[in-house]
Amino acid sequence: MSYLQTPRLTFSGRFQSDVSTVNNDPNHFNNATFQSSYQDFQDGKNANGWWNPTGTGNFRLIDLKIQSVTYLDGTSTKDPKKDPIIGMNIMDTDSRVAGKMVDLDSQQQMVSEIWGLIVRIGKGDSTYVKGDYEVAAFTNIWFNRSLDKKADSAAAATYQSQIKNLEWDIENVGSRYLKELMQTSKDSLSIQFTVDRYNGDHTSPEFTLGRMVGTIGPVFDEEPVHHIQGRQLFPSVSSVNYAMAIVDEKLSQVVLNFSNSLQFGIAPQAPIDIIDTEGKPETIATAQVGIIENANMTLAINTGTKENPNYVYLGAVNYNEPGWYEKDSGICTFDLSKENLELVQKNPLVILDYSTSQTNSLGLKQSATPMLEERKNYVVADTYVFRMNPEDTAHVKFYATEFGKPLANKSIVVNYDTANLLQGADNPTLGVPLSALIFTPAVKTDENGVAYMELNAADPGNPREFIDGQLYALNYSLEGSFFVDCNPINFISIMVFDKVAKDVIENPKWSDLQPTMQQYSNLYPIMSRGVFKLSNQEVVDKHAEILKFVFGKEVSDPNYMPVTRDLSRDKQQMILNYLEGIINDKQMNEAVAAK
Amino acid sequence: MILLKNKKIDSLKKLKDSIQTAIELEHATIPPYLTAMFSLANTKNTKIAGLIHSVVIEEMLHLTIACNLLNAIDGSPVLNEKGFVPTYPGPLPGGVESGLTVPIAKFSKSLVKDVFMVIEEPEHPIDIKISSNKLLANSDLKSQLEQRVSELEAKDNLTIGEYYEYITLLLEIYEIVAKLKGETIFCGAMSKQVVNPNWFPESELFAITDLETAKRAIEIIVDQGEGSTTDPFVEADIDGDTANEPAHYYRFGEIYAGKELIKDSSSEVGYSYGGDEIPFYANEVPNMTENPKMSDYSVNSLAYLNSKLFNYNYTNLLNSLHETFNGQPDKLSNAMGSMYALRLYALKLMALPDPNNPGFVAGPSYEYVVSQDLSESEKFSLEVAQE
Repeated sequence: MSYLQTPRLTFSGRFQSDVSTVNNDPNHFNNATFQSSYQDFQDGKNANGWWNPTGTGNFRLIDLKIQSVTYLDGTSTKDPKKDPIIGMNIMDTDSRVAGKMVDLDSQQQMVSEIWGLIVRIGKGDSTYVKGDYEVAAFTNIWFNRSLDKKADSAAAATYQSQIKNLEWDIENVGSRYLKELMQTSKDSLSIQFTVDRYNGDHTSPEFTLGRMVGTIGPVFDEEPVHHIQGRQLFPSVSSVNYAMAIVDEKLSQVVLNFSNSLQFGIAPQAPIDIIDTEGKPETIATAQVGIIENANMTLAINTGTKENPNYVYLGAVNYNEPGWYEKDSGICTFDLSKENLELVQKNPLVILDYSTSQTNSLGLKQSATPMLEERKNYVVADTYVFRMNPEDTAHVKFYATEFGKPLANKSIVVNYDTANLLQGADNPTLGVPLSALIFTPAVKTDENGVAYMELNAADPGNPREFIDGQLYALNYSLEGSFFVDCNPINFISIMVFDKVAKDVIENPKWSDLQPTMQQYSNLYPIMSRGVFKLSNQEVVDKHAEILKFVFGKEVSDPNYMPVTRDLSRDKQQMILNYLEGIINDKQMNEAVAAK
Repeated sequence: MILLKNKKIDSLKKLKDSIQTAIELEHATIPPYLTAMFSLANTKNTKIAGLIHSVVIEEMLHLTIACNLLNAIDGSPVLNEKGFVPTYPGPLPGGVESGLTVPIAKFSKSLVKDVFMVIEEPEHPIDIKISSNKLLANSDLKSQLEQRVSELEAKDNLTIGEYYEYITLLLEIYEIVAKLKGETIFCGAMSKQVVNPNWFPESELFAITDLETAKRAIEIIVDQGEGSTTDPFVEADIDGDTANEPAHYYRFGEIYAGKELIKDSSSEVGYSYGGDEIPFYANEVPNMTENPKMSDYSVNSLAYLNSKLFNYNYTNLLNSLHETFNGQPDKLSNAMGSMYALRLYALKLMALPDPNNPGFVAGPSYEYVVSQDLSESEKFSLEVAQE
């Protein structure tokens, strides 16, 4: 299944995301109206180049420590004496440049992807497990996660993906956990993390850093890469966010991921005793950042209906326990009796605010208000971010489930829907022409609950003028239900790049490249000031070899240029052909000179 | 002029050690040159920055050549250890204690004159060229070589040129001895040789497979660094064109003089710094604190964060070079990627006020950090750090 299965580990610490922000305003792509002040930091009301104009795009794992492991048999430890992996680190690369965080487009910044990240498990300069993080976009973003923060700092989102091409070197570690993990899932691992409390204040020592908690576990075939094929819990009240769970039949447990579901804020803590300035003992109230829910959250199975519920209680969500977030990464387990294991297969899960109070005459009064409720039927697009070029074909892979089990022979209906893209009044219009993105409007799931929808791209014809290509979005739902029933955050975003005329690609002049190069120069000052001023023909010609090398790299390589991965296939070829021409000219001149 | 400690080489093992020292020496010049160059970024001092850049590229070439040389005789270059990086300020690896102290500092003319030109200063005419028809092993040649070896061994200290000459002579002698037994010391795996026309022209970076290629490679290191005794210009492949450029010492000389080196018949030696102007706009250079260290900065400062990220990236660079020179030559591209990233981190540092020195900016410290070990000493909880 995934990171919710055993053997799994939890980790927490920090991350760095040094994204650049000049390109956060779509109108900054317009070379004709670009001002040099757009490369400056935001200054009071003057947005300039927003909060990090000199960002590099680097994404790093920082100070991440392994906090707990849960073995195959469901037992668990947080004690390094029992398993030396406790306290070890989750790290990124030690021998190449950092991975990169990249938006799909200036008008779709809600699916930022991580590219070229290496994940290592180890300690110091020892690496025990190492692999490549498969490109993933975040989901389940909510902007009021941390009530003591503002703007982006208040937000949280989750990433789920797989670590592939694994190299293991665990012989001498003496970790039972790593042995079990290798035996269970030698080829790839499932990884999920929640990021939040990001610091976007360039005067703060924590600038570009944020908090991360996460989980790593095994991968089994036929499961989605970026989602859980399991139980999907939807918020019923505004103070919580989506959660997901699995039923582990072997261990007879519900395993719940609540890592991105509860709010943080300044919460009261236990009072502490101090000695005051006059030397007298005193008890003072304290408050610090913590989870601020005050509900008695309880997981239950609803064997009744929505209107007339009948709850079978499985246990409390102990979010108040010390370290619940940083040590357990918000993962909770609930044991199931034989009876409840049967019940949970056929009935929805629900998380209740459950309380009891003494009434004056009749004894206990129970109150149970649903906070999160499971949708019986669910469908999700595993990969929901696509970059396409004219004549490209791609496939969206859907997973449909009923109470977490494959839902076979069910139709999935797909529609154009740009409502969730960034469409400001003064921004280019999105989603047109429709003819540049053709898709199968309805597909049916197979016995595994899987369906593939084909996407076909054509030339959009530069409808956004100063931004290459066009952005499309699709919603989807199971036949007879609505998009809101399948988590609307997971809509499909597709970038279709413009076409360039064949003769221009084959025989490009500097003037053909100039607008694109000017745009990169404008939007990425760290590059144009720090390394190559791409808008300058002399600079480009002089560095033709190195530029050809980086522009020609695999898009998955962290050294690939442009970092933003928003260069069309045709423009990339045009640039490469131009550089090739410059290099050939140089060699020709050299040969002539030699004679 | 840099003087190196003269350590007697009396075994192939010691020869390998001395080439490892050469690798460390070639690397050690790069951080100070890079820092001076970084401090000129985004200023009008593009001509000076370009000259330093051309020297840095050649130092990287020399580092690569030295690694190829060690691999050619079946040694194993080590670049991924704390001890590989010298302490700045301090002497260069292999250098005599009383010698030059090399700092990490922003660009200044005095830095060029008092440090860079001293590093690159040639001493005596050294002609390490021995024409190829003498390659055949014979006892006359061997005794000739041994005579020069004893001359060098009699010296207290060696110049860099002499150091490489010493290595060359020993390579030659050991190869003659090996050949007599029907063997060769050039028995290293061909697969470990780094040859990469993406980064260095094949005329300058080629596989070292025998004595002839070894000597040609060392000649490139010495010539580019020192030039000859009569001609300050050396032939170079510049962006695919063959051209003459001044040896490092004279390139720094140009910067110091503020004028390009030209042929000049009116001058006694035939050359003068009388060419186009090389202007220096001193007030544009960020006022970087000399010899910054990560530990100078409070853990709770942006300077610390960026210093840590710089060092982490620098360590990654050394790690990727280590991989490159230990059987994975394709990793050179990763190393080059990290080189560019290093520059961006340095520029970020030089844009930050030094929290300890009003009026100064922070700077790069080139420390080998063992990734997450750092956080052990930090120990500040997530939430405390947040607030």
